[in-house]
Amino acid sequence: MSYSCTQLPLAIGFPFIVSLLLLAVGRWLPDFLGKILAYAGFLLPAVIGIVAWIRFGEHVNPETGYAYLVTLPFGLKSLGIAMTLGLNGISMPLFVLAGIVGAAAGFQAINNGPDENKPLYFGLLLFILSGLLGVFASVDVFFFYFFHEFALIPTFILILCWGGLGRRTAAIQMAVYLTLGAMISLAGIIMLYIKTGSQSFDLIALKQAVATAPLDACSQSMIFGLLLFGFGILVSLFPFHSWAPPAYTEAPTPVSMLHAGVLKKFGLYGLIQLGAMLLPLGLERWAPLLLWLALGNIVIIGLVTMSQRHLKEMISYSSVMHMGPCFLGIVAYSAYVGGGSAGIGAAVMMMFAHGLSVALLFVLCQGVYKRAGTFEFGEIGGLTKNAPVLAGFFIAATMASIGLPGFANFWGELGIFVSLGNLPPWQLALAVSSIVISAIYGLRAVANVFFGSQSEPLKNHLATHPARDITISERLASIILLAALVAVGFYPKLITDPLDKVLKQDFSTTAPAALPPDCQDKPSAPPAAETTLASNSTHR
Amino acid sequence: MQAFFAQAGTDALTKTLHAVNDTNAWSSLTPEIGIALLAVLTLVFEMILPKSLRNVIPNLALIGIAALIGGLIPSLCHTSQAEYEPIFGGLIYQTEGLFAGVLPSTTLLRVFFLTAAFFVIFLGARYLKKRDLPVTEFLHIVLVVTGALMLLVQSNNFVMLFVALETITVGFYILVGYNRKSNASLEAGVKYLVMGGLSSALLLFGIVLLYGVAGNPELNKEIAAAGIDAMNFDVLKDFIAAHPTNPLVLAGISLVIGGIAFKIGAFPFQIWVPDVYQGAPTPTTAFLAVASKAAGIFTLMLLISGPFISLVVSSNGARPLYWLLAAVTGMTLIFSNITALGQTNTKRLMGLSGVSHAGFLLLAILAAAQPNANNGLAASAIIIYLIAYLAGAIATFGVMAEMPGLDDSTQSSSDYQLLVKRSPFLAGILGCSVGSLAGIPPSLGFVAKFLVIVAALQAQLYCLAAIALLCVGAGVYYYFAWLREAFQRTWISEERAKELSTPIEVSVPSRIVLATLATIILIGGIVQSFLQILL
Repeated sequence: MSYSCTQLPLAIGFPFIVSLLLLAVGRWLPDFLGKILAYAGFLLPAVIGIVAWIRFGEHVNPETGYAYLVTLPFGLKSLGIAMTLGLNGISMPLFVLAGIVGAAAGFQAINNGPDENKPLYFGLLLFILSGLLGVFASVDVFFFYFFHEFALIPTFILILCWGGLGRRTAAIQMAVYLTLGAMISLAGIIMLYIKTGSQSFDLIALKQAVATAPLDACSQSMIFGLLLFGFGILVSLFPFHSWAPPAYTEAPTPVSMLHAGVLKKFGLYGLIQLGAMLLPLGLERWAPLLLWLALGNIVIIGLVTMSQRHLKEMISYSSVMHMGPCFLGIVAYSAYVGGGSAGIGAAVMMMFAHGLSVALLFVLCQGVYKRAGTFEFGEIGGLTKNAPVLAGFFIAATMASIGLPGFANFWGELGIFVSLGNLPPWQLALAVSSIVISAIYGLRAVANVFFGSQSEPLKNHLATHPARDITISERLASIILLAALVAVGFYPKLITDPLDKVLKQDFSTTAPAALPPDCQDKPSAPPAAETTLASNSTHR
Repeated sequence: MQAFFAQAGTDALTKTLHAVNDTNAWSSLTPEIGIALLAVLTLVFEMILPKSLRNVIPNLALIGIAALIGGLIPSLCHTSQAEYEPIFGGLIYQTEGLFAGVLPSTTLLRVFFLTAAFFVIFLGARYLKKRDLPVTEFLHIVLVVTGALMLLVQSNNFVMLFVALETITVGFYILVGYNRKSNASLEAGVKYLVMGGLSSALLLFGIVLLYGVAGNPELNKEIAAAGIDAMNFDVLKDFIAAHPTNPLVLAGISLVIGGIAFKIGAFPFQIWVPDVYQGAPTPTTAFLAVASKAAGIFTLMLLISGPFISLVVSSNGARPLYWLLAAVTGMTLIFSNITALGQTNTKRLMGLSGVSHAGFLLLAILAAAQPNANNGLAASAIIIYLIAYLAGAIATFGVMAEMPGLDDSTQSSSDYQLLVKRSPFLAGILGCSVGSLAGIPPSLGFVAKFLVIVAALQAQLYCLAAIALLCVGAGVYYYFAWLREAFQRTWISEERAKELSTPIEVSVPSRIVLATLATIILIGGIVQSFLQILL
C-alpha cells in the first residue's frame, strides 16, 4: 500500500486508536506518556491534511474528481455501504480545516485544560476529532453521517464534566436538537438511496445514478426538504438555532472550537454535496424559503448578537449568524437567484474561513477569561495594558471575522455577495448588512474588553490574580489558526483551484433548468427500480 | 369428556397422536433435552454437594449452556437449502442455517435464547448471593424457561405454542416474585400473575375460536374428510386464506395477537411493564426484557408469516391485520416515549424504553410483511436489533446490579451522581450501553435502528418511520438525562458527598462480562462488516 492510499485511514484511525487507548487505560499511564500520545493524536491529522493539500493536484483523478480514494473493509456490502475515503475539491479544504482546528484545539486542551482526569478529556476530544476528519474524508454517505454522530456523546460528556454553569440544560438541549436534526437528515439520506435506486450509498455512484436517470421534481423536493431541515438544525439555521449559543457558551473551549468551527460545517457540506449537486430541482423549490431563513440568520441573529454583553456568548451567537452567508452561497446556485456555481465555491471558502476564525476567537476569549476572571464586558476594560499581544491577536481575529481583505473570510463573503447580484437591491442590502453588523459587535467587543479604563471589578481581580500576557501555548494555537487564515487570504488559489475543478465538473455553470409545473399536477413517475414497489402498494 | 372426544374428533386426536409417535425425532431436540437435564442437575447438585461447594453450581450451569451453544454452532453454519419437514406430527418445525426464507432459522433463535440465559444466570448468581437469596432454584427456573422459549419458536401447532408459552409465563410468575423479602418484588409478582393470567386467557380463547371455526366440518370440508388437526399452522393457514372475513376468524386472530402483545409489552397491553420491571429482581427484569420480548416478537413473526399471512398480505386490498398492527406499532412507540420522558426510576425507565424498543421491532415486522419489499432485510434488521438490545440491555442491567444498595427497585438516576469518579469503569460501560440503546453511532444500536428505518422506508411505511425517528429524539432526552447524572460535575451537600465518596468495587468476572458486552456493542457499531453474515 502506498502512502497516498494509507494517509486518510491513518489520519482518521490514529486519533481514534489513541482516543480508545486513553479512555481504556489512560488512568494507569504516566502523565507525560498520556500527553505525548495526545500531542501525536492531535497533530498527525493536521500534518497529513496539509501534505494532502499540497500534493492534491498530482493525485486527483480527473474522472471522479477525487484524490486518495481507498476502500476499507467496513460497512454492509449487501446494502451498498462501504467505507470509501477520498477527497475532492470541496471536501479537501474542510478536511484540512478539521486538521488545523484539531491541532489548535489540542494545544489549547493539553496546556490550558483541566488538572484532573486528563486522559478522559483528551480521549473524548480525540474521539470527536477522528469523527470530524471522517466526515469530510468519507465518500460514502452512510459513513459521512456515521462519523458526524461520533461527536454527540463525547461532546455531551465534555460539557457536563468541564462545562460552565449552565451546562446541565445546555448539554441535554444540544443532544436532543442534534439527534432530531440528524434523524431528519438520515431519513433524507435513506430516501435518496431508495429513490435513486442506485443500490449504493457511495456518493460517486449516486452521482452517476442521478446523471443517468434524474429524479422527478417531486421526490427531489421531498428529499431536499428533509435534508434542508435536518441539516438546518445541525447548522443552526434560523429558527432552529436555539441549541447552539448555550452549548458553545457552556462547552469547554476546545469543544466549542471543534463544534462551532468544524462540526457545524457538516450540514452545509451535506447540503452542497447531496442537496445542490444531486437535487438541483429540490433546491429550486426550497430556494425562496431558504433565502428568507438565511436572511433571518443574518439580520435577526445579527441583532441578537449585537445585544450580547457576555464575550463568549457573543462569539457563539456570531458563529450562528455567520451561517447565514454560507446558506446564501448555496441559495445563489438556484435559478431563483441565478448566481451560478460561484456561490457554492464562495460558501466553501466561507466555511473554511469561518471555521478558523471562530476557533481563534474562542481560544482568545478563553485567554481573556483567564486574565479577567469574567466574560462580562461591563467588568473588563483596558486589558491591553496587561496583555498587549493578546489584544493584538484578538483584534486580528475580529477583523478576520468581519471579513477584512487579507483574511480568507474576505474572499468568502465577497464571492457570496457577488453571486447574489441578481437579487433585488433591498434583499441584497439585508444580506450585505452582515458585514456592518459583525463590524458593530466585533469592534465594540474589542473596545469594551481591551481599551478604555479598567473597571473596578477588573482592578480588584487583577490585584489578587496578577495577569501576564499570552502564554506560548496560547500563542501556538492562535498562530496556527491565524497563519492559515492569512495564507488563504493572500493566496486564495490554495482553495479555489481544486474547488473550481469540482464546480466545473459537477455543477452546471449556468443556472439549473427551470422548475417544471407543480408536482401534484402531473402523475409522478417513479424511477425504474421502484416501479414494482410502487405498483404493489395500495396505501398512502 | 371421553364421549365428547369420541364424537367431536376421535379420529383427529388419535391420528395426531399416531403421527406424533411416527415422526418423533428426539435427537433434533438435543439442546432442549440438554437444558432440561441441566435444570435437573442443578437441583441434584444442590442436594448432594456440601454447602462449601455449592458456589460452583452457577458456574456449572454457565459451562453447560456454553457447551449447548457450541453444539448448535455446526447447524448454524449449515447452509443447505433443504426442505424442512415438520416433526412430531406437525408439532415442531425446525430450520437450520441463519435464515430460512424471510424468517430467522430456529437454530439461530435457540442460540439467541441460550445466550440470553447465559448472561441472566451470570447476573443472577451474583445478584442473589449479595442479597442472601437462594441461587440454585433461580437457575433451575431460568433453565426451564429457556427450554420452553426454545420450543416456543419452533412450534408449528397452537397446542405446542400454548404449552410452551404457559411454561414460560408460569416460570416468570415465580421469577418476578422471587425476592420474598422485598415488597416491591411481591407486588410485581401479583401484578404479573393477574395480568399474565388475563393474557393467557385471551390467547387461549382466541386459539379455541380459531380451532372451533376451522374444525367445523360445515366450513372446512377437508378437515372432515382427512381428519387433520385444526390446531396445525399449515391447516389454519389454508383455512384463514379461504375465509378471511369470517367474524370468528377475525375475533380469534385479534385475541391471539392480544395475548402475544402482552408478552411483547405492546400497546394496549403495556400497562404492566413499568411496575413489573421495577419490582422484579434485576436479573429477572433483564430476562423479561430480552428473552420474553424476543419470544413474543418471534412468535408474532411466525404467526404473521404463517397462518395469518392472508390477513396481512392480500390480493384484494383488505388487510385488517396489517392495519391493526400498524396502529399497535404507532401507539406503542408514542405511548412509551411520552411516558418515559419524565421517568427517573431507572428500572421503570428501562421498562418503558423497552416498550419503545418493542415498537421498533414491530415496525420491522410490518416491513417484513410487506409484499415486494426487501423482506430479507427486515428480518435481518429484527435479528440485529435484538442482538443489539440484548447487549445494550444486559450491560445496562449489569451496571444497575453493580450499584451499591440492596434494594434496587427504588434506584433512580440521581443515585448515579458522580459515577464517573466512583467507578470510571461502570460509567464507561453505562455510556456505551445507554448510547447503544438510544441508537447513537458508533454503536451496534445505531446500526440496528438504521436497518429498521431503511426496511421501513423501503416498505413505504413513511408515517410509522417518521414516528420512529421522532422517538429516537425523545429517547435521547430520557437516556441522556440518566447519563447526565453519571457524568455531571455537580454541587452536592457534604453529607451526600461523604455518601458518594466511596469508590464502587467491581469484581473481575463482572468486569470481564461487562467489558465483553461493551466490546460487542462497539465492534458491531464500528466494524459493521461482521454483521454482513446476518444480512
